[in-house]
Parts: sequence; C-alpha cells; structure tokens
Amino acid sequence: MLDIIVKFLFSVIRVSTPLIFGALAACITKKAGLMNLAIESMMLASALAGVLVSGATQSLLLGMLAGFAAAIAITMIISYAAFVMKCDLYLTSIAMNTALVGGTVFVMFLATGQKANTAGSIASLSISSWNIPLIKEIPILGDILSGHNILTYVAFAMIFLVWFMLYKTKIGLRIRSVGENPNAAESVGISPRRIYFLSFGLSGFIAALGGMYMSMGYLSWFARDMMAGRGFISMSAMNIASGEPVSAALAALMFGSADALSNYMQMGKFPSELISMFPYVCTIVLLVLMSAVRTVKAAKQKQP
Amino acid sequence: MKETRRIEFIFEIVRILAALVIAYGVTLLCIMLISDNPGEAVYMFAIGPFTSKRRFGQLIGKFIPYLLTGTGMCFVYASNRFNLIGEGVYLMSGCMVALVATQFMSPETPHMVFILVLILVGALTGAAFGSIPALLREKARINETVVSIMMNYALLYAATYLVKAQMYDTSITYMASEPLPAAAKLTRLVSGSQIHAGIFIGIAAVIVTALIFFRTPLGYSIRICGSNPKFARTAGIGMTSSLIAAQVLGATLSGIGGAVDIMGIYDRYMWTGLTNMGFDGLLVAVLSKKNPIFVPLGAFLLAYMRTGAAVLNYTTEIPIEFVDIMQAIIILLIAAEHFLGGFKEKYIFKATKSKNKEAAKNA
Repeated sequence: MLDIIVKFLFSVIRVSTPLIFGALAACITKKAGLMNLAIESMMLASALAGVLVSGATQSLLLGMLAGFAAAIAITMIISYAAFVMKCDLYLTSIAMNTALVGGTVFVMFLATGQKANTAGSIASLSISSWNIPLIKEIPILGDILSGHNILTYVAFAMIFLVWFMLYKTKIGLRIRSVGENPNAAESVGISPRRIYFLSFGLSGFIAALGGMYMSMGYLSWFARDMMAGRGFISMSAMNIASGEPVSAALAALMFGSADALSNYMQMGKFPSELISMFPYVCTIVLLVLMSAVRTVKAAKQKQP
Repeated sequence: MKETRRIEFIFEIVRILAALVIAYGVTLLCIMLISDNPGEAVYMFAIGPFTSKRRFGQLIGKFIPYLLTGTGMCFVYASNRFNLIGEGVYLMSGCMVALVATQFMSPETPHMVFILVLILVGALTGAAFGSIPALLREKARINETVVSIMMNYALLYAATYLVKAQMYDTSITYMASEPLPAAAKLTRLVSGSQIHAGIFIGIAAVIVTALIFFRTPLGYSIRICGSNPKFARTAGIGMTSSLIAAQVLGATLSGIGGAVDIMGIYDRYMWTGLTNMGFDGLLVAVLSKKNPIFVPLGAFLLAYMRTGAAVLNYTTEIPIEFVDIMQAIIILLIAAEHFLGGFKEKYIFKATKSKNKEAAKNA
C-alpha cells in the first residue's frame, strides 16, 4: 500500500510539472491585466521545435533554444496582432491555438514526410532526470522527491522566481501597475503596450519550458495535439488563484493529482471520464464560490 | 457623414477580400512549394470540391452545420462576449440526440415527429448548457471565456461517459453509440451525396436570425450592447437580459447544429474529441462580419476550404491540417482593426476635407 502511495505522489509531481509552468506563464500576463488563452499553442510550438532541432543537431542546448524561440515567436505574433493591429486578443489567441494544432502536424509532415499522428519518428534528445544527493537517501520522501526530470525542479524554482519578479523587482511593479490601471501607468511614463509585449514574452518563455518538458522529458517524442488541454487547465489554475503564482502552483498540483488519479483509475471500475472532468468542473465551482465570497464581502463593506 | 459611411463600407469589403486573397495565395504557394506535383495539388484544392457529386455533397454536408453554428456565433459575437460554449454544446446535443433516439423512442415513431422531437432535444440541450456561462457572466461577473472552455472539455468527457455507460455498441470495434433508427435520419435530397434535408433548417435559422437581428427590439439591443455598451447603459437598455438572451440563443442554434449533423450525416454518435465546429462557427461569424445575412457566404467559403483540404488529403500526400493555418491568417487579417486602416482613414480625411472646402465655397 505504502508503495502505491509513494508511486502515486511521484506521478503527481510528474504530471503537474507542465501545469505549473503553464499556470505561472498565465500569472504573468494576468498581472498585466490580460488573459492568456494561447498557452496551449506556445507549449505545442516549443515542444515541436525542441524535438525537431535537438533531433537534427543532436545538441540539447540548440534544441532548447529553438523551443524558447518558437514560443516567444508565437507570443510576438499574438502581441503584434492584438496590441498593434488591434485585433481582439481572445480571437487572436483562439485562432493561434487552432493554427498551431494543425500547423505542428503540418511541420511534422514536412520534416518526416509522414502524416504522423502517432509519432516517435524523430529521435529527440531528452533532458535527463536528477537524483538529489542527500534527499535520495531519506526513505519515503526521497522516493517521492528525488529522481524527477531536471525541468521539474526548475518548475518549483520558477514558482519562487516568478513571485520574486512580480513583487520584488521594478519590472514586476510596472507589470502590476499596468494591470491595475493602464491609464494611470501611462500617465507616469510607462508604456502599457511595451509592458504587454514584455509580459507575453516572459509568459512564452515559461510556457516553452512546459512544452519542452512534455516532448523532451515526460515523453521523448512529439505527438499530434499532445498538450490535450493542459494549457487550458493551467490557465484555469491561474484563474482560481486570481494570478498569484504560489497559489496558482498549488492549484496546478491539485489538478495534477486529479490527472494522476484518472491514470490510476483507468485500471479500476470507476469511469475515468468522470475523473478527467474533475479539473474543469472544479474550476467552475470554485469560480462561482469565489464570486459568491466577493459579493458577500462587498455587501459587508457597504453596510457600516 | 454619408460619405464616411460609404467609404467605411467599401473598405470593409476590400479588407475581407484582401484577407481572403492573401490567405488563399499563401496557401497555394505553400502547396506548390511542398508538393511533388504542384499543378495537380492546386487543382485538387481549388477545383476538387466541385469535380464530383460525392465531393460537392461533402461540401454541402459541412455547409449545413456551419449555417447553424455560424448564425449562433453571430449572436454571441455581436454581443461582444467570447462565449465558446457552442463547441461543447454541439457535441453534447449530438450525444443527447443519439441517446434519445436509441434509448427512449420507439423506432416506429413517425418520421416527422421523430425529427421534430430530436431537433427539440438538440435545442434544449444547447439552451440548458449555454445558459450556464451566460448566467455566470451576467449575474456573477465570471469570465465567460474561461467557463465556456472549461465546460467544453467537461462536456466532452461527459458525452464519452454517456456513450460508454448508456448506449455502447459492443458489436463494432470502435467506440460509438448504437445506430440511429431509420426514422430518425434526415432525408437525403440527392442520393449518393451528403446533401440532406437539414439544409432547410439551416436556411430557416439564417432567416429567423436575420429577422431577430434587424426587425426586433431584442436584436437591436443585442447589437448595441455589443458595439457600444456605454451607450446602451445610458439609453436604459436592459443589458443583462439581452446579453443572456444572445448567448443562450447562440448556444441553442449550435445545439440544433449538432442535432442536424448527427441526424443528417452520421449513422451513430461517434465523436471522441472536440469537433471544432464551435470554433468554425466563430470563424463563419468573423467572415460574415457578425451579419447573419452574410452567414451563408461565410459558411460556404469555409466549407469549400475544408472540403478542398480533405480532397487534397486523400488524393495527394499533403495533410489536411494546413488549412488550419490558412484559417488563422484569415481571422487575424479580417478581425484586425488596423489592417488597411491607414488607407481608410486617409480616404475619409480626404473626403471630409474636400467636402469642407465645398461648404466653405458655398458659404
């Protein structure tokens, strides 16, 4: 029994990693006052670019650089369309998501000559996992915490980094002030448009880590639509936490456990579809609860 | 003022045409670059959908649900709410139609009654699920985009569960419901093609939507609330109710779309992933500039593009997915306010200037 629990907790951390990256990416744009619906497409782009370039050049560094570049390119297209050409941001992001699901399959076809739905046709390098020296020796905790992919540890470090960036640096202050009130920020000489570009770029950088974790750590190939809604789940994790990096990461862990649980339940009799529904239904219920709490609070403030 | 409006209208059309030409050009260029036999590939993409009865039928088979989801999305898009519930509702209403048709109705039910009941089931499914994000948005200020996307995935899993638990057909190798009874299927208008009686439902939906949009107070207030909420509030228009109505009506039409699609083309319910029909409906609404009268044009265009890509997919080696990229380019160019916006402003400026000069002369 203990063995199963340890394995389960290990897999919770494993499947939560991309969600944490995604949630943090969403937090940054949220703090700038923008909803980022395109995390899914950023992750897909970086996952594919990472696999293709690392497979072709046999260099992990180049592969990762390509992954970052691809995701940031997507964010720049979105930012240009939305903030310079004044196209609706939601519409742009949704268009980008559809384009990337098809576009990545198309690029796969160009690269391999197969209408690859199930991949594995490109041998990619993968990022190795890491046994933490001392913690590894602790009986149960070591089995849960040690031996993950390096990017998993990066994800947990990233929670702190994003929090630090948002709350302790000048850039973070600017991002938050634009998010609070773009006009006020503009009146003191901060260009909201520049901040929007910057926050989307940063968000792309973090989402790229999540995408590359999926294709070069969690798996070692690229498959069609391999994000399977993870971008949206992480966006809702951010939403529940209303953009706070630490609580967003916790929400991502919660959704990750639901995901891990549904993997386990597929063997049992309980319908796995109902567990797969959990993150989505849970988000809606929590949002309703939070809104109710907000209304009650507002009513209380009015009374005295 | 009239002059300005005329210039704006002309530019709107020029912009849409320019966007289509650019997207089409880019696509053709891509096909030519990657294909071993560019002439044949371009021919298959551009003319392919019209070369046989079966292919043209395929085009119309896609066109019919686009009419319904497109008009539905017109409501939603015109009210300036990004409620994407149409996607999930489409799938769920197909599932509910299959459930009712295979489990609760006798196969001997008269054809017309059967069809009407099933369309009603689709519409009610749409309205029921569509009202959740709409109510949450207008009553509790919860972002409708987030709720609707979450619900889309939840509905997908719920539908899969329903199929597995209630109507799983064990005699076939893939996951699908039991086959629909013959009386539940819409009549094929042309034998050997996918052209079915649902086209009348689609056309009726376009006409009704156009009437609501331009001949009723509800349509007027929906359009005003979408394009200028501050004015709507000042003018005392009941925003909450019109916005809820717009989103629920949109979801209802999507629900009917899903029902018609299942009854017209499929033998059984077999969708295991999101159908993308809701997003395609949004694209139709964008193409027709939120105007239901133009929905048939937008729907036909999208159906043509998709069929062309499908023909290309099975006649040459090029995968169908490239059309998604083309779709995104079209959306970006048409919806971008500033695409060719400089020209428009210049022309309006010139026209006003010359008018002012004339006015000065006359005075």
